[in-house]
Amino acid sequence: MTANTVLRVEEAVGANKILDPRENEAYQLGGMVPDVIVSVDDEKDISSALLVASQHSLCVSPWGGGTHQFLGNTPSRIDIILDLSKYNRVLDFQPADLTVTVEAGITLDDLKAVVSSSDKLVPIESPAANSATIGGILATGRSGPLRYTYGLPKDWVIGSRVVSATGEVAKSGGKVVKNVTGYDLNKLYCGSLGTLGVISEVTFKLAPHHPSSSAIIAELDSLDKACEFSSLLMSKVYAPQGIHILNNSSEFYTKYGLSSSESYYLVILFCGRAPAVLRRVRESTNLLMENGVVVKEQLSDEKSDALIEHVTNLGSAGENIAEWEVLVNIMPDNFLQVWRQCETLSLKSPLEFIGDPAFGTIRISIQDSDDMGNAVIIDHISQLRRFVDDRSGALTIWRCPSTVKEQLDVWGGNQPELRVMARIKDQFDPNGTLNPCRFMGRL
Amino acid sequence: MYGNKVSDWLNKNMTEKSLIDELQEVVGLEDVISHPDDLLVYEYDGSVDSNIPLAVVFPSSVDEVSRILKITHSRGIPVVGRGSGTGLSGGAIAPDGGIQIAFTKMTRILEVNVQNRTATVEPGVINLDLDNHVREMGLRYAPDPSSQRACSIGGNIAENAGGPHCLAYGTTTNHVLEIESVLEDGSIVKLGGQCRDVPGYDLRGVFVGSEGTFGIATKITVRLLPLPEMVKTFLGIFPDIESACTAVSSVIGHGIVPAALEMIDALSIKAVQSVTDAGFPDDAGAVLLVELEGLSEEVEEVTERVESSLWDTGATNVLIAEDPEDREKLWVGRKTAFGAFGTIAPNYYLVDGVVPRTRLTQVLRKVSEIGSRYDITIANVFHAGDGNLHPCMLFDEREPGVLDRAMKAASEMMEYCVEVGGTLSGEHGIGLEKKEYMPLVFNEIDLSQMKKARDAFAPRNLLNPGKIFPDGESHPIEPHRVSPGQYI
Amino acid sequence: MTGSNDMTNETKKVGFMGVDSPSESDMYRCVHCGLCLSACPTYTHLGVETESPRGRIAYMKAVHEGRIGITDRVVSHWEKCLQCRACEAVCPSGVPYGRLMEQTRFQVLTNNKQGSELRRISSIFLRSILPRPKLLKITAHLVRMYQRLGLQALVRTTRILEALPGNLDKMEKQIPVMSDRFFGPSRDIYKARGETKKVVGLLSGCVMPLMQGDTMEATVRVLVRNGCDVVVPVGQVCCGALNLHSGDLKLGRALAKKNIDIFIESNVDVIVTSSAGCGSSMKEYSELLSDDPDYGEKAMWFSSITKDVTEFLVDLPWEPPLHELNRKITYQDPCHLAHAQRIMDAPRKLLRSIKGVELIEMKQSTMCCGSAGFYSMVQPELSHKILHTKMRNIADTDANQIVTANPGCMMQLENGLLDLNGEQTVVHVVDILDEAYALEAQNV
Repeated sequence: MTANTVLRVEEAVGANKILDPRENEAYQLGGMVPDVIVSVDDEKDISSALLVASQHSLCVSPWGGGTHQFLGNTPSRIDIILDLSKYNRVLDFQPADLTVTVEAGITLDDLKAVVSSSDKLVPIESPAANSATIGGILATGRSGPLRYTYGLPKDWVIGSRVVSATGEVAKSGGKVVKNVTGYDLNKLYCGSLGTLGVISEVTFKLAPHHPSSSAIIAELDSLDKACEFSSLLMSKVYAPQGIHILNNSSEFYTKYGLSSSESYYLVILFCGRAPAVLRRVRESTNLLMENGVVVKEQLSDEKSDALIEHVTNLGSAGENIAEWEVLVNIMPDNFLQVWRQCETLSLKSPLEFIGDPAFGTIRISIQDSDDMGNAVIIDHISQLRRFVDDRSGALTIWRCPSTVKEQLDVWGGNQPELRVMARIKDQFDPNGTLNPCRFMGRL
Repeated sequence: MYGNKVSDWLNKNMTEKSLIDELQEVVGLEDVISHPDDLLVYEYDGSVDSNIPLAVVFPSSVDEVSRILKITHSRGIPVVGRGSGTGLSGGAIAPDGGIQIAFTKMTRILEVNVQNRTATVEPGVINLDLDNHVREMGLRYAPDPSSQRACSIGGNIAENAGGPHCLAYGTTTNHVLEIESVLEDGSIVKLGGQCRDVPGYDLRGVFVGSEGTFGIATKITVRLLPLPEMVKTFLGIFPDIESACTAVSSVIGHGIVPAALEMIDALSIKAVQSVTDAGFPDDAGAVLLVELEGLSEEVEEVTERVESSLWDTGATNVLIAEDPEDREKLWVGRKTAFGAFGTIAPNYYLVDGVVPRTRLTQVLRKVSEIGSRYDITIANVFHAGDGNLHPCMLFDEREPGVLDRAMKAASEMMEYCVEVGGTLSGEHGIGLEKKEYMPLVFNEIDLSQMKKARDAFAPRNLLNPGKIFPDGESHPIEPHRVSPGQYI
Repeated sequence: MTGSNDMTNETKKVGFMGVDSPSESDMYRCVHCGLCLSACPTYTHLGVETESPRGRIAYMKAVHEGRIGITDRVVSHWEKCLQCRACEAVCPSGVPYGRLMEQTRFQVLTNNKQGSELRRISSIFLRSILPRPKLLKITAHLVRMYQRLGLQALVRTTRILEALPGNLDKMEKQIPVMSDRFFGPSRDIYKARGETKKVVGLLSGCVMPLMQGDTMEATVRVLVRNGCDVVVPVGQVCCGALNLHSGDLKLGRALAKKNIDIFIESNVDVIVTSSAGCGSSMKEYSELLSDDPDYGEKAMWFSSITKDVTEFLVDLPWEPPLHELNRKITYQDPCHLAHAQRIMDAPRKLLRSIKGVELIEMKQSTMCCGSAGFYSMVQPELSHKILHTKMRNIADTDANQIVTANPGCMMQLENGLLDLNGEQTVVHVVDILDEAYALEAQNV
């Protein structure tokens, strides 16, 4: 079986594209080691591999930087991994048109470097941006600390080429910023975790680089106050571009020399044109100080960019990767109530929180679960999920020990539209070639 | 005779009596239109195509919509939703043998949540009514299609409507959070969610712009934005269109994405000035409208750059307005241009192509070349900032052969837009009007992937069939249906 | 199935005939873009395309193209039109809707297809009473007696009319409270205060001097106060607006010619009216008589010197009253001022010039109140619906006085207040100006 698979894939893509089998270990997914790794450097490689896979009922998972492969359910089967990290060219960069077209394997950092050379910006952040690829970031749909202002990664995609489950290449959208020609399939591919097709090329619209950025860290003694000041600031005409509430985040505390008491910290982010940023910072600082809030730190430009990167990576990349990461999406007016409910999770090890009250997300990291036992966590999270579901929110287990995935639905969600999602999967990948069972509803 | 299609269909099916009865059982006698005289005025929308529906039904609730679709599903009758019928590509035109579900009885703004900055509305709510309503709370609904005074949010969702201010804020798709939709079998689903990010396939995202082929939206939650502190409008007057195009690139090149960036060419200026005094000099070659919004500091800072961009690229004058009344005056010319074309010729046909904005000069030159080759007058008024052209062919259909020339010219223009990296439609949609041009942009594989998405939502293809995808059924432009104009 | 047969049998498909039919160039200016929909009172209240400006024009085109005949059903849609011309004001293509609809109504009339209600009312009022000043005066006297003698109170309390067929009870409500004195044409010249700036010929009109004689007198006083000699030429007749709106172009033209003759004789600088409906119609005499070899040029002259009183005062310019009036008011734009004549600033400028007056804008002040000539009698239900919306918007403003500039609107709004037992009053722009001027005179 294995030998056959390798042979068939070799025949399809060429032996030079197949990685040494000794490397296969490094690509295991949920404990499964794939039979063959194709190192893609041409769209044809993706296409040929998928064609042969669909002909022989083999299962395929795309792989970018490998930074987020823990996401989703464990696939029911993996035969072939398409490693796209070498498929990373910038195909067309038009600074004056504010568009760029890249191969999906380019890392976020590399893309940002290319466009920033012409003072342009891809307003996307991701943990491990030096190895996370564009294809991977779009497939996972994860957003960063400036999401309130810049939206989700998919909002910046204006065109794509995607290889279908049977190896056919189809494009959607185009290279213009405004387009209603045909369905916007880009939206469907983004966030589908490689279960509908393999993203091959992406065209982004770009923003002008913001000439100035700044950040404030403020300390508050209660969650209520943190929320109150967040919404107060966001209601102002000088509102910041992003605001975050952090609690118990030891890595963050250490880095910025904060006390790890009962405090809640506001990380307030500003970016844009210098005079506007100056005023936003000034008025925000005044508002906080007039109300007796302690402003611990004010950071400018590189330092504030570093803070954004730090917040993006907290618990997700670097040295202190959490064992569990839980992502809660809620409406801003339920933020406080849901956070409080999250705090009732009485686990031995402290929970670390980062919340975006204006956008409506709370990320909970659990650093060390060994002490408390996964069963307790599962139980608590299930309760919390019910609470969140009742408030029209969603709770997703972003990261957890792969062993518990059998006992816990990482996606949650039992919505009526799951039926439509199942029909989508059935249409785009009727044979279950792509990442089978990995998505919501085991699609 | 217009009743033929209907009666032929009836003779074949012999089911109308009970279909109408069944529909009336759902919504009441008054809220089904089935008399042929009345149906006659449901044959059109704002586009050039027409087709008479079998009936028009006016539901008042999602439950009624669901029951209507159960009836049509069981009978295999095609259905299309209708908002205000202002679309420009035939989106709301009834499919053959189909009924329309009109939303003029579902026009409530159900909720505005100031803290979440969302509004939940029924599909028949008029775009401008929503915007006016939330402005009282310091918020705005950003997408502002030129028909915003009349068009409905439901229709905006179907067409992914744009507008001048979409340059900075994005089109409808960027402003929709949740859609309650009834599918072709009458089942009710919620797409997206009240939160700004929800896990799962982005059904909401692919639904927006699906031109009524996926489902019938019955309740929509949209995002609202805070009102800007300052708005400033610039009117740059240029000796020729090339210099105005250079100004567009220069503004964008300075790292400025204005809220709106609109262009009007020489011929349009003449037409406008003959109707109303928009303050354009008669000898101007082009004018550029630039609108900046934001914090006063950023608007002020950028003001200098915009001004110098305009002067440096050859503007002969730059007018600036800050208060609402004066800004409105600068917009007058833009808003009356299409209507004013009637003074040049009685008929027009408009192309909605988009090109990368750096290609504007090149494409406009080609457009003018095509125009002179086919001996057709062409005026240009368009969304320059996002490269969305609206070359407008002006002619008198009574001149023999002119219509044919106009259609050929339109076709060449679309081909050229695609050739330079652009596409067929920026904001009007494909519908019936441009479906046969789809192969210029998409090959069969591309189209078959799109059909897969549709088949997932509507496996029997009963929702607005015959739109978007080429099927060889050309829809010839009927001469009298192309005539002078509107603000687009 | 029944539907299509109905149509085939009924349809004679005669199309439009004669010179007074909607012209192709007018009809096909409409590109059915739909931007008129939200401005149309009947569309916004009924939500159906058949009762929209775009739909009504589509029917005109269909008749013209022989796709459909002038069926009763189609006529009923045309007759639901208020002819407020709000659509015309917002039309980006400049479709002359008012003209189209008048010509269409003419075609309906000549084809003897008028709806029965409209036919009944027009035969009584439009063709018999209005054009005959004497008869109108007699009728008005009867109405006044009826009101004075308290019969009205009796009828209203006993609700006897509700038992009668048709809309008699509703019509009774619409009989406005008559002025004490009737204002009318005379040989007098009202001399200007101070130096004469302009000689003004005032249109006395038909209904207005009877129903709102006070307003007519106020108009004279305000004009005099602002340096105008005012004459109200004897021999003038009804402006013909209501006849024209109902499609009676023939009688309309006859009335127009009579007025043109009279005003030429009277040797005035300007013709002023305080009735927006009349003004709009008189400004269009030039169009109405454009093909008339004898009257074409005269009509052009007539129309060019016709001004609404608010427009005229602002151009003059007027002297703002020196005395203060403390009150909150709201202003209802008469359709034939705002849409037909596009005058919206002038009345507001006048109102704002009165110290102490706070003008609170209502929502949709340019939306019709439902009066529309005889519409409130022909289409009582719909008219009432439209009025109801209007009164709600007025109530939201918290104003204690409603100001407008047309007799029909004043009557309709008074009826609206009656329904609500509202304590506000309805006045014309010149009434409130006159009030302020009067106080100023007292103080000086």
